[in-house]
Order: sequence, then structure tokens, then C-alpha cells
Amino acid sequence: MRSPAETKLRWEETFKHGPRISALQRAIKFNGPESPCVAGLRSLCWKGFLLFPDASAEEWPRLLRQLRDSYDTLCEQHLKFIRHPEQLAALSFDPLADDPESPWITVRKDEAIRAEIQQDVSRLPDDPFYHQETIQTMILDILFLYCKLNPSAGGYRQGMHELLAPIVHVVAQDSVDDKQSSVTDTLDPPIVELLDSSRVEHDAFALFSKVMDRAAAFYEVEQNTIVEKSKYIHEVALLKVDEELASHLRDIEVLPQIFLIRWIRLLFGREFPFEQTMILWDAVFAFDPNLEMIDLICVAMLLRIRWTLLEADYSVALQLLLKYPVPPPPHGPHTFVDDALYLQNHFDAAGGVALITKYSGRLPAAASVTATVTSTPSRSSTPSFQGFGSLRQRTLGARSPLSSTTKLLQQPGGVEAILRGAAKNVIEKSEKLGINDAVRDAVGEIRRNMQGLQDTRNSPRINRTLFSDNSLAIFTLERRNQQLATMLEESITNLKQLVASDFEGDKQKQLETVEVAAAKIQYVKACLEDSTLDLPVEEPPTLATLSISTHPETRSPTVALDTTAVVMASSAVEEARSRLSSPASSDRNNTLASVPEEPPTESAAEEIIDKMDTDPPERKQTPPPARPPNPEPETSPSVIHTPTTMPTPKERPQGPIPTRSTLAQSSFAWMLEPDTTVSARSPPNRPLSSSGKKKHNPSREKNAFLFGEVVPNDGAAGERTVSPDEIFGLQPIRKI
Amino acid sequence: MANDEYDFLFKVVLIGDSGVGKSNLLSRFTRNEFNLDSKSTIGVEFATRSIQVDNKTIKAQIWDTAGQERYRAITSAYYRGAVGALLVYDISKNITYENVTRWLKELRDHADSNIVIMLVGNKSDLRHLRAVPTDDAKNFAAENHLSFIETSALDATNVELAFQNILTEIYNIVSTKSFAEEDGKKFDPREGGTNITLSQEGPKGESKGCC
Repeated sequence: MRSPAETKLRWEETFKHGPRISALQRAIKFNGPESPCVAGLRSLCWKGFLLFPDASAEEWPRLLRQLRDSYDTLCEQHLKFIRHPEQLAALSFDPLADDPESPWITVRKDEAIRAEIQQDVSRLPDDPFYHQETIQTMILDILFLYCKLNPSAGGYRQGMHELLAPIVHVVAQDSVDDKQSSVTDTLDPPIVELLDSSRVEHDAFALFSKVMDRAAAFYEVEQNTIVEKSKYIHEVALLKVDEELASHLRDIEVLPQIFLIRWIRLLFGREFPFEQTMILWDAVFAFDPNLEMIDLICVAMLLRIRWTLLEADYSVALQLLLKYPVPPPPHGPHTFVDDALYLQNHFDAAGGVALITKYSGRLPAAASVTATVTSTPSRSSTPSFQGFGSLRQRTLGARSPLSSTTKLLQQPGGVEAILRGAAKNVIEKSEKLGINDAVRDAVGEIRRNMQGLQDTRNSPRINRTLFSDNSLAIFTLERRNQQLATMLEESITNLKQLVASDFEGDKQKQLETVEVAAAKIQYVKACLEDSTLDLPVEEPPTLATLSISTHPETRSPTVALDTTAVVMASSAVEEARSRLSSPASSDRNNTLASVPEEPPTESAAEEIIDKMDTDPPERKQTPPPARPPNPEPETSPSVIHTPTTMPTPKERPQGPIPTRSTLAQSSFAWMLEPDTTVSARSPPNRPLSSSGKKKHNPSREKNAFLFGEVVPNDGAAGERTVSPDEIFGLQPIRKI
Repeated sequence: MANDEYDFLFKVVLIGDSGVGKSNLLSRFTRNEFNLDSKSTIGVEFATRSIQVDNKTIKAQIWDTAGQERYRAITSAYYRGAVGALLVYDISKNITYENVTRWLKELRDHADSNIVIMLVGNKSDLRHLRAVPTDDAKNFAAENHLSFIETSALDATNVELAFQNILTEIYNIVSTKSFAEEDGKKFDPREGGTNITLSQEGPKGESKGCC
């Protein structure tokens, strides 16, 4: 128990941002030592998030009183004879009678339940707090009551005690004794009432019950919910954001429930040190009181150790997962909630790449075709954005986990993710540390990413496939280099000006400048690394174009190239900022005001797939008007993003290649038959399998097969004269 | 990371009621540790240790689960590929001994039919609280073709021996029978069920090392 003076200070610290939940959430967001849960009264924050999410703090005492009263009633009902055995003896029932109505029978059954619970309560973690007799009894009583009230939950389940114990700890720690005059002298009556030490048990019960509203499912035994949940996390969620890791875990036969049972049932309580777990819980309760993001938190944890996992065999992986390495500061466990929030909005391979790169500075090597396809539509290819769109289209065929040379190209949305990640970091850091640090960090980040991308530099694919005509290639490259140089020049000038101004003046503007410059540099880098990347004629699209989602309006083919980079980048700044400042990014209503964004739903997967199947018209492109007419490969007008109409498995695609575009529909089409331009106006929903064109075009047919079309096509493989890896550096695709 | 030089890899599971000391048997054997206030196991724990038998290195992959997990959730994953089981009860708590038959049924239902089972009466240091006579358990084990031993994870009595015995027993079966023709082949428990052809050798070693 704290001194009244300290409690008063903590009270003020808790509510210095205002009495509303949203204010508390915002304050939690920047989880430093300033967090109201750390510097203030954690128990009050938890009560706010879990029990009174819609009420203002002034109403809390009244609401809490109701909860406490109902707990008293419950105790009277279920604990009477256990707390007062003498009253049982005073009853006129025969203790030995077999009458099922007899309270003696009930009490004996209850004692058995309590014995089972007690066995675990006495084995709570080492903290001496838990082993005080009063606390032991309190935890036992609460668990017992919970089981009595929820007989359908299957009784007490091991692990519930470790969900409850920290709650009791937190509530007791903040409590004050209203019988001490120093307390009543120092603190206002509502404070004393809210923190009443004689009501710790009541409040802990209320909080625990609320957590268990959702967590009970994790303990459920009949349907085996936890196994299903584990499967979902591995085979759907993780597969979506990091197929390589999901496949690896499957290949080494690590069953997800083996480690996820403990992660999830204890809300990660055994995975991290106590204090860090509490900060993690702060974030969970603040942003996800219904525990809907637990799956994504697990995914984020897997992503964080993905490099180690990828190298691990069965036992090493299992040992790692059962003894999860504590993430070092500043990226403590609570950052998994940040990651989960991010994944909620970026539930695709690009989102996975962004997180992996953020924490490891390394780019994943291969990403699955499946993930590529599903990740493509949501934010991709506004018509203005042919460059990245076609890049992505090309990556559709790339599936070569072992090849280290084509990393970037195989990376669905890799560039996009990096740009977005970098931008986000720049802003985040600027807000926290001031602009100087931000500039330094941005430069560092860019440098790091450059290293990560080195591998892709010498991608042989580009040389082999794109520039068969040398002079044309040189001409193209020179022109391209000039464009890129111009962009770099601008960025350098802007940054220099900023330095010259000694960072005085409008912070906002400076932020944007840094932001724009960083985005441009990143873009140039991406272009340098992949010479297949188209440059728009006027100004290269920057960050914003990447982030802007496929909102109908933005898809009009003319929006494209006349938007200046600055404008676009600043909208990206807005996007990122609104994401940061929104108290709960999970709240889809206030996620993005200015930039349309796909809603962060759990069914995002399905939506994305649906979209992919139905939105081709918007993705057709006509060549930008200003484009030179020569048939240079990079700017080939034949780039079509017509998606396939293949049925995409909605869940858990087992086979590696559910859907892909045909080569004929991709930006490679020009290669197959330079004289036959695939019409941009070809029917968008043309089913692959019935494509008549392929029939009289054997070369296209065979190459289309390379890109994994799931069309029974036995003859094609045999006819091949050049293997796919020879052409594209790709791994041949096994037929199904 | 892990030293992967081994000739055989055996998966052994620990089963028995909650609180009989499974986790402490595991930590005593693999890390020589004992913790009086060890937390209850949630889900699964897992540790490995290699021992020498017959100049062969045997890596034991030992799985420990919550006593309550008898009720499903991870049952199939837990038993898959297991070639040995330590069925643990607490000599000071009769109920945990009575439940041994339920655990045997669980093994029959979910584990490989040829799994080697050893009945382990743990907490033998609690002499003054003994509720299960050694002879009762010994007879029960003999009737059911189980090996038997009493151990104390607390004072380390017989823990090493218990694991040595069961691993040796598995090794003998594996090396003399199914793998005679492919000497030295790694025996991977994850392939279990398909190519394990262990067979019960009858009640052998049931009184080894009991106190």
C-alpha cells in the first residue's frame, strides 16, 4: 500500500489528460514512464478500460458501487457456509443424509472444487504478495465464485489463477485504507471509495470476470477452441503475413497449440517478466478489451523471432517458442500490441514484411504466391502507379525461397512496405525526440534498408529478360538515371535548406520536408535496385501513392501523374499521423479521415480476396498520355493488372499455388510476343482456363504455366526448351 | 544451438495428476534443479537431455504437460510419436494413485500401442505421509506389464535411474527388433506410429531401484 500523498500524486498523473477513456488510451499509446498505468494508478485505468469504457470518470464510483454490491450478494449465496461452517451445523439437515438438496452435499462438492483450485493457487509465482494467507484465500474465493457462476465453462481450468493473480496484485497495490485518518485527510472521498482496500476482492472479481468473458473460450474443452484458434493463427493469419515462416513451422511439424496454449491462456503472462507483462496488458486492455487481437499479437511475436525460427529444427524451435526470448527495450512486449494494431490494418504479406524489416532490418527472402495475390489488391495499383503495380505483378511468378539474388523482386509489396515503414518511423520518432533525431534516424534507416537490399542489386533476371536490345537499354537507363538524379537533387536541396534553417520555424513543415525527402530517397533506391520499375514521366510517385488505397475515386486513370510528389507525400504524413494519434487504431471509424483505407476487420482476408476477384475494371490501365511511344520495355503499355478469376480458397490455402495471373496478363506479356500487345481492354473477367488465346500461342501457354496457373496442362512442361529458372531465376512450379 | 550428435532420439512423455511432481522430475533430470514452489504447468513444457546407453548416444526429448490436460486440447499432439511414458503419482496422495488406471486408459486410447510405460511413485521423501504402499504399486505394475520405480525429485533419489531405465528399455527394443537391419539409423519420434514396432517384453525391471 502506498502513502496517501503518493496515491494523490498518482491520481493526478492518471487523470492529467482528462477524465475520458480516450484520453487515457492516448496516454497509454506512448507507453513510456509517463503512461498513466505506470506513473499513475494502473487499477483505475484497467477499471476504466474493462468495466466502464463508455463512462466518464465521475461516474465510476457509482458504477463501481453497483458491481461491489452484486459481488456481496454472490458471496452470501455461495460462500456462506464455507466462510461460516458453524451456520451449516446450526441447520436442521442431517450431515450424513444422501438428500441431493442437502447443503452438506453442496458444501462437500464445493470443497472438492476449492481443493483443486487451491492446488494451483498455492503454486502461484514466487512473489511473496501471492503467498500471504489473505491473498491466497481471496484468489481462491474469486476463482471459486467464478466457477460456480459459470458451470458451463467446465469448472476451474489451470491457468485461470495466473490471469486473476496479477489483477488482484494491481488492485491491491493501488488500494487505500479508509480507516486511516491520514488517508481520509489527504484524499477526496471519491478517490478513497474507488480505491477502497476493503473492496479489492470485489473489484478484482469484476475485472477478472470481464477478462474471462472472452478468455473463457481459450479454456473451453469440449469444442477444443484453443486448438482451432492455434490453427487459425498458424495456417491463416501467419500464412497471410509471412508465408515462409508459416511453411517452415509446418515443415518442421511444430504444432502451434503446443506453445500457443500457454501464450494465449495466460495472456502471455509466463512469456515475459512481470512488469513488462503488465505494460503489455495495459496496452491490451486499452486497445483490445475484448481480446480480439490476441491472434495478431501471437503473429507479431512469431514475426519478431522469425529469423531464428527459420533456422531452427523441431527441438530448437520448440524450445524457443516455449521459452520466448524477452524482447529488449525499447521494443518491449507491449510493442506486440502496436504490431498487432498495425497488422490489423495491414493484414497481408506487405504488413508482415514491414514488421520484419522494422525490427530486424532484414528483408525476408521469399514470399508466397498466395500471400502476394492476397496482398495485391487492397492498396495496389492506382492507375497512376504503374511502377509498383507492375513490379508486384512480376513478383507473382517469383517463388524461389532459396535464391538470394532476387529478394526484393520476390517481395510482394516489399518496397511499399519499406517506404511506409520508414515514413511511419520518421514521424513517430520526430514526435518523440524532435526533428534532429528524426533526420538522423531516417538516414540510419535508409542506410540499413539499403544494406538489406544489396542482394538484389545484381539480379540476373533483369539483365536476361528485359534488355535484349542493348542500345535501347542503355538509352532507357540513361534517361532513367537522369530522372532519378533529379529526384535526389531535390531531396538533397530540401534537406540542406532544412539544416541551414537550423530547424527553426514550423515544426510541422519541417517534418513534412524530412518525410518527403526520405520517401523520395527510398523510392530512388528502389528504382535503382530494380530497373524494371517504371518511372512516371513527370514526377515519380512517392509514398502517398503507395499508401492510398484503392478507393474508387483515386482509381481514375487520369489522377495519376500530375499529382506532385510533395502533395502526395504530405498526405502520407497525414495518414501516418492520423494513425498515430488516433486513440485506438482498432477503432475503424477514426482510423483515417483523409486517406481511404480498407477497414481493419478480422475478415480482411476474405475481403481482400473478394475484391481481387471482382474489381478488375479499375485496374486496367491505359498508358499514361505523356509516355513516349517507343516500345521500350519498361513503359510497355501492355501492363495489365487484370486479376484472375480463379476461385481463391478463402481459408488456409494448403497448396502453394492457388491463383495467379497468367503471364500473358502480366507485364511480361511483351516478352512473349512483342508483336502481340495484350489489349488493355481485354475482358477483365476472362476466366483463365478458357482462354482461347493460349491455344494458338504455345510460347505464351508454356510461360503462362511458369507462373503457376492452376490449369491442367500436361503437355506444356515437356515442351519447354528453357526452364523457368533459367529465364526468370524462378523455381519451377510443381503442378498439382 | 543444440548438440545434435545422437544415435537415437526418443520422445518420452510425463503424465499423471496435477501436482504429483512431473515438472520437477523433468527439471531434476534435465537440469538437476528442483523448485519447491514450481508453478503449475500450463499446456506443455519440453526439455531434452542426452545419455549414453551401450556406447550409443540417446537423446531424450521429454514432454511435460499439465495434469489437467487429460481433458483434450493437446492430447493428440502430445502423444504423437511418444515411445515412452512415465506415469507419475504422488505416494502421499492416494487419489493420484487411484487415477493411474485412468491415465493408462488415456495411453491406450491415444498413444502408440507399444509405448513403454513406467509407473513412477514420486515424493518418496515424504515417508511420514506415505499413503500408497510400495508393494501395492509394485504388484499393480506387474499385473499391467509396467516397469515401476519410486523417486524423489526433491532429494534426487532414483530420478536419474528412472529415466535411464526407461530409455534403456526403449533402446533395447528398438535396437534388437525393428532396427536390426538398419543399424545406426536415427530413430525419430516424429515418425512414430508408422514405423515403430516396439513390443512389450513382459514385466521386466519392475523392481529396479525401488526403495
